[in-house]
Amino acid sequence: MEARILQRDRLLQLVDELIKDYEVIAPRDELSYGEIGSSSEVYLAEEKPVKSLKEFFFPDREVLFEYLLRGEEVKLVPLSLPDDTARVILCARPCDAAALPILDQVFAGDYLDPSYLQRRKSTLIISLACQHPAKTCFCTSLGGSPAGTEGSDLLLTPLSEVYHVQVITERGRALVEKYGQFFQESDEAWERERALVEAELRERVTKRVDVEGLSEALEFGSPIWETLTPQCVDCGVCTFLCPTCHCFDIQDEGDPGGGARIRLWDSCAFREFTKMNVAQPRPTHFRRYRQRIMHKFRYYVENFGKTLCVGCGRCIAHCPSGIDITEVLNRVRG
Amino acid sequence: MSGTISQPAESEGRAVDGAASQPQEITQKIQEEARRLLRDDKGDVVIGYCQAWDDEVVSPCFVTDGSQVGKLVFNEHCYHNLARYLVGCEGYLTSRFRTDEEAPRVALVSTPATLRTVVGLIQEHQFERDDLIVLGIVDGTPVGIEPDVTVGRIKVDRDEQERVSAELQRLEMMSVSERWDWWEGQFSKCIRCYACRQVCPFCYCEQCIAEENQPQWIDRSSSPQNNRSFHIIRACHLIGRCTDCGACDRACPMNIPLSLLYGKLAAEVQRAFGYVAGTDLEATPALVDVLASESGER
Repeated sequence: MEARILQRDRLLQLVDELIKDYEVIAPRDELSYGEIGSSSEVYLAEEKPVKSLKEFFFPDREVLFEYLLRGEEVKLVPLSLPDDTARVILCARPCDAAALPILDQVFAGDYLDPSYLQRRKSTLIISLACQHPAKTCFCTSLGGSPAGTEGSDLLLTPLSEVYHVQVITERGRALVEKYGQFFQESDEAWERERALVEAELRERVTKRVDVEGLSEALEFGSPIWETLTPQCVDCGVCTFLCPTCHCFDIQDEGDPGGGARIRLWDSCAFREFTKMNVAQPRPTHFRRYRQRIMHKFRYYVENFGKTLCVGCGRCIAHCPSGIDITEVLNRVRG
Repeated sequence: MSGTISQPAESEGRAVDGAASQPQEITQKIQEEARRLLRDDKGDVVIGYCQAWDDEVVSPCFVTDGSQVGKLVFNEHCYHNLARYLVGCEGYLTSRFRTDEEAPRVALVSTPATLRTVVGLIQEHQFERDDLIVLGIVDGTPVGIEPDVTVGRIKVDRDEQERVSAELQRLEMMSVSERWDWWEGQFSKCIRCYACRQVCPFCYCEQCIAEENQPQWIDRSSSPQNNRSFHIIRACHLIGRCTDCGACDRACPMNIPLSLLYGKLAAEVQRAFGYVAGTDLEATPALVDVLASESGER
């Protein structure tokens, strides 16, 4: 493992240096990550931000093209790619970073989504190990860890006196070299401490779900779906806060004189989800909830070999009806 | 101008406060009634609360079998307005996915705000009083309906009322443009998950204006303008109907204090028409009254 050491009191100085060269995004309040203009704006709390990082790659509202009507003439203004300003996402939660390689399967797999790709390419991710996993966290069941490296370029792990900086990608190495004055080499003692810290953090993740053989155990035709989640109110909280849910709708907004075609987040919980001219294929609640579970834990696994869940627990923590997806999965398995 | 719905006389409130039941007693009483209803075949389902994934989280639950009655609980985390599950296209009393003969006999654990909601829904002809067995929890505030069984007495949360009242007063002290900016800031946080609408028993419309697209009244994406349109229209649809249960505030993941908006409108309705939603089953709802008098029917 390639690693450096960053003195605790130098992190904020590093942030201010980064702000000179990059657009820097960090947790800004209890609700979300956002662009910061100074290291003093970084909001470090025990709880993860309510919203995940996905909006910085897959925005909840994206203009695909605009149109203008001038007399008889229609003028189309094609999609303008997001600007390629280099961005650094700082203090990302490891679970939020881990969601990105999962989203890549859809947006940067068979189909290459230009704006998603542009944002992925221009963004470097520095994650910060989770020191206070919540009661709702279950990342360790999905192959993650409070100090997981998946999807990150660098990972900071707070040790007793310093930050351990794990170099995960070439891009991460380039950044560490560019700001070499902030870092020193790690040594065996620091590495030992890091391993102990990670082991201890993993212990703090107590919620579990058994995903071994889960995808095969989920049956579309099972009668259990019908009585599984009657308390669900069909809102979009779980899907919109989920770092991996990525269903979208396309809508035209504007008037005959001009407008835009918009890509926006959609949710399988909504009654209008995939509604077609002839019918709504999932007219009742249980069919929509079944879609959510089947998509995450069966269809995605079949299509891409990955589970569409990183165990961040936001869908549990913020569900207005108190639904716990791990309990649901345990019940579906029987 | 006061921003809150006035409460009943202090003496009445105190009398009930004095006799407030412990949560365990309410839990026990709910379980007893549920067991009796199911055993005597007087009801098919009891809608109540059960413990969820944490001590501080409860979940609405639907008990149809005597053996499940022990799940039912009542505590300070039971804020969900369970009347929400009665109505709408999949509601227990109004579902269009079953025949009338299949309609279940429903018992509903009802907090004071839920009791007022039941009144509003009956006034709006969503169902009849006799369609529902009401297991009521009262706090001395007017609820406009006599529960079939009173399963508990709780205290009015005066601290919360004062907090809301102070917050409304703070907003009213603002200039119009300051207040507009404040609400714009709140609405700009909205992610259009519709949790506020989905937990609300009064949002039972099968086709919400937010999704209607012929014509498209409100654009769907989450932009400040679209969010503002959605929330202002929703607030207008709740005038004289909202019973201040606060479920929308609790459900909103972005902490938008929607009940301030609805509370302000309720206070205006009370000031102008002397009408408080859900407190009198026989009263003509304020909006009906106004529309009828404007059209010359009154």
